[in-house]
Amino acid sequence: VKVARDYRTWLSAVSAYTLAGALASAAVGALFSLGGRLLPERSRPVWLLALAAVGLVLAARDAGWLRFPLPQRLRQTEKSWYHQFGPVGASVLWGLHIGVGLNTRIRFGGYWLLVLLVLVAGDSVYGAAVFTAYWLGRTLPVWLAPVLGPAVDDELLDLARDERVQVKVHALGLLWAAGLLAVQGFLGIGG
Amino acid sequence: MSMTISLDRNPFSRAAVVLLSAAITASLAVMRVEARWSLLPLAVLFGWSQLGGA
Repeated sequence: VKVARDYRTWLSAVSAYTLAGALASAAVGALFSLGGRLLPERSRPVWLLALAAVGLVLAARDAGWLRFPLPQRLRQTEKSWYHQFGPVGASVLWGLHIGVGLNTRIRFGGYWLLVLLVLVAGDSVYGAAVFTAYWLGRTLPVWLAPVLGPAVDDELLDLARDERVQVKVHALGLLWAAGLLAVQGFLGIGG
Repeated sequence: MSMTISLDRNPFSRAAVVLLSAAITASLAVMRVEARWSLLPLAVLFGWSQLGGA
């Protein structure tokens, strides 16, 4: 989140960030789904049940009941792009870079559940849609920041990164996702 | 860790809880039409938890 000097610049930068990231996310989602084409169609209900189990494990991890590291790169995107390319140019690059998903830190387990989900589904359109939805959720705080909090930089980020509620909400979301996957697996639908 | 959510004055925390409720409701609604798309609202929620950028 960078604080733009005026509304028009802010809108251009956030729009560019959102669109560029959506393109990167859709491409990555479609790419992940290619692996699923190797799975036999009839085995998908079993894989959905396995995914439900993974969802439960990830929920337990995010709730703090299990401890294990998530695969991730502990790095941030390039702040220097702002000085090199300006607010809109840098926003495009940040969107493309962060939109890939694997280039920066992954705080919670939901991302990996989605990776496995689109892999099992084996449908490029579905993979692109799931990861675009993930990206839109990821950009939502940026869009809502002016509404939810004062337009200040570091203070707002500290406020946004308060994990006490976020982590519980994420764990409950994973729990719900695991339930949905289990139902789909048992009924032989979805995936 | 208790899973009880006590809301403070943090607007992002409040928004996260609203989003969780919306995602659960939307996933149920979508499930009735096309099961495989029911995970989409949860994908939005998972993205939200990353909070913007990195």
